[in-house]
Amino acid sequence: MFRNFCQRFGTAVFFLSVALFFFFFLALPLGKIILSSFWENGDFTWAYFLAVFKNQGIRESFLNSLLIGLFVTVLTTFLSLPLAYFFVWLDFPLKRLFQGLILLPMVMPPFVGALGMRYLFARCGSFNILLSDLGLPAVDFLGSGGMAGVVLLEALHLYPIMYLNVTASLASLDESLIEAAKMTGAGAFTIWRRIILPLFLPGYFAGAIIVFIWAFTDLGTPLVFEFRNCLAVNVFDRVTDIHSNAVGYVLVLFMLAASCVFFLLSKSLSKGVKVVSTSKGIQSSSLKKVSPSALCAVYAFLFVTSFLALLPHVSVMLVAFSDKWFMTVLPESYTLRHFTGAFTHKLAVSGIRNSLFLSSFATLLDIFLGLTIGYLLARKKGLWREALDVMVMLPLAIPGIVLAFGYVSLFAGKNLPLLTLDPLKDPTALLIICYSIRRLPYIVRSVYAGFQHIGESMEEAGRSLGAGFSRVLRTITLPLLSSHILAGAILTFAFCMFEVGATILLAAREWDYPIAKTIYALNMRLGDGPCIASAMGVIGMVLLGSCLAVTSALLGRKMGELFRGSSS
Amino acid sequence: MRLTIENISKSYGGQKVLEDLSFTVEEGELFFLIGSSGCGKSTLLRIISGLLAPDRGRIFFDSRDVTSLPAEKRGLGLVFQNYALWPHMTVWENVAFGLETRGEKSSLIKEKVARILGEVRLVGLEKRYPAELSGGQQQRVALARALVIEPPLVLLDEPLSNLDAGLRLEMRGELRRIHRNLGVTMIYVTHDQKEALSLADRMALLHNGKLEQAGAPLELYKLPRSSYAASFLGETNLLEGTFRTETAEGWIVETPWGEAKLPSDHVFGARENGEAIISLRPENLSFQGPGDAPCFEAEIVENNFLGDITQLVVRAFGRDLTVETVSGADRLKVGSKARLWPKESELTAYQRED
Repeated sequence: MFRNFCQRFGTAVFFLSVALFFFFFLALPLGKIILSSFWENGDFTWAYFLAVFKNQGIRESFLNSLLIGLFVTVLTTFLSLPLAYFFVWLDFPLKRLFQGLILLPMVMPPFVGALGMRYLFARCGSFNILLSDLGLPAVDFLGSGGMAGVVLLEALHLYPIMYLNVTASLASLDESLIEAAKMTGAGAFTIWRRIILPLFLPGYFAGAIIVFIWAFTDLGTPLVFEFRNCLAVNVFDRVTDIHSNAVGYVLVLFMLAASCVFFLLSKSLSKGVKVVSTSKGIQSSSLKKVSPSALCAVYAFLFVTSFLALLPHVSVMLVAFSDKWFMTVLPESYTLRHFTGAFTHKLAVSGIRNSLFLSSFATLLDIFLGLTIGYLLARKKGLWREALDVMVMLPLAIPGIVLAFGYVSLFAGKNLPLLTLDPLKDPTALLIICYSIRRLPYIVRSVYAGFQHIGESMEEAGRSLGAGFSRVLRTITLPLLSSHILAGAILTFAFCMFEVGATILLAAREWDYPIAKTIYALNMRLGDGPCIASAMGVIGMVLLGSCLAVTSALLGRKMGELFRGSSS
Repeated sequence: MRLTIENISKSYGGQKVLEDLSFTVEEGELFFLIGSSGCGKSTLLRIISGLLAPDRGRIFFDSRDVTSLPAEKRGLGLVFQNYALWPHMTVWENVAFGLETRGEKSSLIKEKVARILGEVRLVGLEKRYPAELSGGQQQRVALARALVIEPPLVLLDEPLSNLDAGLRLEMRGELRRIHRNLGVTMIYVTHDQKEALSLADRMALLHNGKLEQAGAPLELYKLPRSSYAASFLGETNLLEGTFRTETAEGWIVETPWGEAKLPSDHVFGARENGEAIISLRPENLSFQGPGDAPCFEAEIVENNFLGDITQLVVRAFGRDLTVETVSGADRLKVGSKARLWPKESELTAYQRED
């Protein structure tokens, strides 16, 4: 009786603390943005809204951001659909190798790739020098002031996320469902339209929305390409006069509204296919062998995709190792100097240290919150459950840059007695909170999936043998969950290390810069800057790559669960 | 429609799954394919359905060769073991799908779907999704979906294996009723011999990809043509013996309790003085018999009262034998000795393979 009461009380207290946490660090900042967009000195006004609406430059930048989002989504779709088809339904030599290779682009954020790609594709970049050597006219690869470059780099970074979602969706499509349709006499087209697509699309939309919001709100890549005419850069430019000019708020509101609209749209499109549990999925025996000519096509596609996807990595490495690289196709000579620089430059060292510290803390916070919330969602029932679920998944629809903008506006110049929240004084706490809120949906999902996977009966079996709650937790649940927790934690850590939008907005003083902003800042410096920035990018790439390798070794085929967009 | 299977063979990566199978299923029959798991019965069903192509051999619907006809052109109904219901469609949509792909008029579709849902007793559940149905209900939807297109042949792949025991019995009765009402030819794959014995008009027993025996259930039970068939269908005691000579009334076979005379059609592959395996079913051993009939003494090892019958394990000839007897006679105490009379006219004997 008493124990029961304690548990309920504990749940209630925890639920309330999480609710408060979300209220202060999610609801309040967003509320402030909305308020500031429409209220001036306590009076409601459309003035800012109209001012923004009438400004052609801003209209263009909004359109540009939408276009970037859409193009990236379309491009990743075209890249990942054939890949998913190859890897789920076909059997061919070197399959595993390519499977690993096509996931590699995740190890580098696109704004780092952009550092190197500029050297290859700019007006006087390697490819144009090559073309002019061949006597051909130069090509504006980056197109429309850099938009094509932004789209390409983001698509090359994001297609693995799309691929993982699409693959999971395809793999859960039981072959017998298709055979059953064949038996009724349905042709290939009917089967596609009425069986495969409806079962496949929910998973697709779930992935598409992650990709869209990511690309729509990305700040790092356009900044590096100096494509300033998009929403994220406009928001960034207005952080400095946040207290004197409300236009920034309206822009952020636009961004938020668009993200939410698209998020809800994808939610409604990806709603509701409940899979019957007897489904076995694609059996390895049913993999199709590939004819030699088809194999050529498969390999051609895989080679081109892998080449494109690895190009940014290679280019960053070239820059990082280059000694002299001016008006030649490849660097004239190579050096390790920039790596020494990356480990000794004051800004670089403090950047790495700051990032390690921030990411570790954000990860710890997420493990604690994720475990508890995942447990409550999976094992407890109650009215609050729905509320908790919605609350935790909310950050999926909220771009980091929006959240960061809200923080700056809410906390700049203000101080709580114990905790420094003023980002101008010390952004540490806000960065940790921002990182952890943004990654929380993913870790909760991972833990929740783990709890579902274990099933309550294993815990009950422990309890039936006389083990108490904490003993069951310690000896049964946590060991079984450990791979899910660890995988979620490593990914959280890795992504915190390279969060760009919020980082660039929140970290104001040089010695507070995490890696992402250090790379950005170094890149702006003349001389060695871009090279040291690239060297740091390479270091980050190795770090992120090892994190992902460990995670994928831990999770095996379940890796996709962590990148799935649909709510549990 | 009459189905003819002619010399069908199939291998997977060098492993022979089906070897030179031939048999015929008559119009309107409820025909069973039985065998232990891995014997190739599901593979054969998929070949009949057209989802899988045989390496060799031919398949005829009546006199039409359909070997190279793809599944979607064969017009058969197939009930999958996992039901394979489309999770994004309601019961009604699942069932109507086949009629829609055939471009039937909507009024006709309505009528046919309603009729078949009535037949499988799913009226009122039309708007439910598969995930909202019980196992038995999902099973009925799968059945309705296969039947609604009025196929000349319905294939059922272990349709009841995912149901619990009570439901399985109920669905067995349902299937028999539906088969009788619709008069459609059905081929039913199962490893459950009870299902087969109770439902089948005729059945084929497969073993390692080969046809072991085909015939009516009673025939397979009474006169199994191999010791494998004898032990697969129902329980039996397999004893060692020796073939002696063939006489006008049958074979003289040396059994553990002495010489017995077996009808010639109960003996398979016999050679004079060849080693024999004798199949003695538990119900063919009794505790009473005429004084001059052959009998032997055994010790009661186990006594399992099962209600109407009692199953005993007795020890004789240095091994355990299973005995089934009608309950109610004197209780046989474990450890006591009893005399047993084998019914020699029901014995079957096979050449022992070395």
